[in-house]
Amino acid sequence: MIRAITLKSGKSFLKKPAAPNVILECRTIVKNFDHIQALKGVSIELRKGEILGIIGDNGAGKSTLIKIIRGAYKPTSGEIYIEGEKKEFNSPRDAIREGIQCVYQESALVEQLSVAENFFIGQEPVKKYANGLVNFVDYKKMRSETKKYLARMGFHLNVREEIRNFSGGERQAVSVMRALYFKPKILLLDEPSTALSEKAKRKLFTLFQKAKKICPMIFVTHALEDAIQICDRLIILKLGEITFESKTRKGLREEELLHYM
Amino acid sequence: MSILAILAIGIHFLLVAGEIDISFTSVLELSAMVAALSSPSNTFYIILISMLAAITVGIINGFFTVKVGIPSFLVTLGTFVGVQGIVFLISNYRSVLLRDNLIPKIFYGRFVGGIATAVFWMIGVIILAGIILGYTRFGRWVYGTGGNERASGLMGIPTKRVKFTLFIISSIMAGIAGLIVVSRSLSARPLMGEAYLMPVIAAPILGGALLTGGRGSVIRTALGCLVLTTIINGVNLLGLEPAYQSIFMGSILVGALSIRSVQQRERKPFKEMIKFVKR
Repeated sequence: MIRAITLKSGKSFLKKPAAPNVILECRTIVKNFDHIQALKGVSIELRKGEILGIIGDNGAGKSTLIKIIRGAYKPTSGEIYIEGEKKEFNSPRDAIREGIQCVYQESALVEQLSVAENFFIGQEPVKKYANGLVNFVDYKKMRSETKKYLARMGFHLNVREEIRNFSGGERQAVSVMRALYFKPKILLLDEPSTALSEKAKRKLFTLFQKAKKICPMIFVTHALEDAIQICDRLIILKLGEITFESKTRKGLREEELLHYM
Repeated sequence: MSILAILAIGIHFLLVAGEIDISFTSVLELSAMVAALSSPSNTFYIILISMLAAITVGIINGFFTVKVGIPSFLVTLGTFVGVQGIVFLISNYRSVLLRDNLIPKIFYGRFVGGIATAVFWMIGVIILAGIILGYTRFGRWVYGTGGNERASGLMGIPTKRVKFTLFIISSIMAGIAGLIVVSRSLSARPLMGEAYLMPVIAAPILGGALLTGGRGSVIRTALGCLVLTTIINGVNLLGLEPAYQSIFMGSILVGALSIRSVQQRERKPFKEMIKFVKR
């Protein structure tokens, strides 16, 4: 039974028995851009330990949905719940605070900064002085933590070197591991393998399979093959609506899914 | 050198964030003129309203660049001309005497070993800027914003707020420079900041800052100021016409930018670049 509860602060929320293992729930998300309805009441659930694939052609609304989850867009209507608690994001920073990290197609890295600086960009560790009045960036910790974490995942990079000197695969790996380092509740993967070679892609997918035990992921792509390969569940979006939702199974073929797109 | 360096540090911050401010000469004149016009009065009050006038221009620059989305070059070109007009109007096209004894002592007095306080202001500004850019989160955010604004925004850096703050910092620097200038000459006049336009923008670029943002070192910008001051003084000492200052400065700037351009294209160190030139 759904019950409306009003808090002392005046805020109200609907309490619903949380489905076991559901980390993220988007309920009837609608997003309008002027006269265009990009999302027409989309509802999705992300469960513990899974990779949920969201597939769709250009203009299907998958990027809009991801942008809403990571706080870049506000939905016209609809609600987002994280571990059963209703959340509202006004900026990507709000989403990051709630444990949502994102990896993008063009790795969100700053070319001129080193691997370590990119690893901690926006969330730099600081050393506090004068009772916390003065905070200085802790470069030593940044470098050692980056080096340690990358090595644990099998990447041995010079963390002092500028990120632009590394290959696309290495850069994307840095992006993924950066996201994982902050122990996110949810990891959004927005077409992270599009610009990669086959070899780099495989290495990255192995990393995702390892990492899904740490946090569940939403993998957004228009490449059916990639999605079938690594996702546990698939959702197909078409013109802002869900046209298909199913677990992936052995022998699932692209042709079966194509007419839903 | 002190005035040049203080102004250049303000511009350095903006260049690192991928923006520019060319209104600083007018802000300097405005700050100096407001100080002169509001004297005689309480020294603290004079400094306060002089700095507030400067900060107001910074807020206008920041608002139109960050919130409205007009390129900073065009916004600050507008405020450069507009504020210059305001200075002409409030001064009635004349020089105005500074009637305060304390301000010249604070900004251009000679206490320790006969060194002008302006030098200490300059050293303080350089050290503070070096610490902010090199050792604070805000500093890292400035480099991130300049290097890749989109990526930095996605990683949660408030890029717009960073840029807005930098326009205010640039205006504060111009305001301090204005108070030093008025303290040095004990009067303010329109167009008194004009001579700083070229060297102030040239110094950070000579020091390695990119117009596209993401790069730059405070120490190198200070060294750029030193080089340009040496040129200016050298031309004076050699008894050459002032026009030679502009010729030398212009040539050095174009030369430095050409070297950097080749370096960037090749993405190779200096030795490789020499090979490239010889080829």
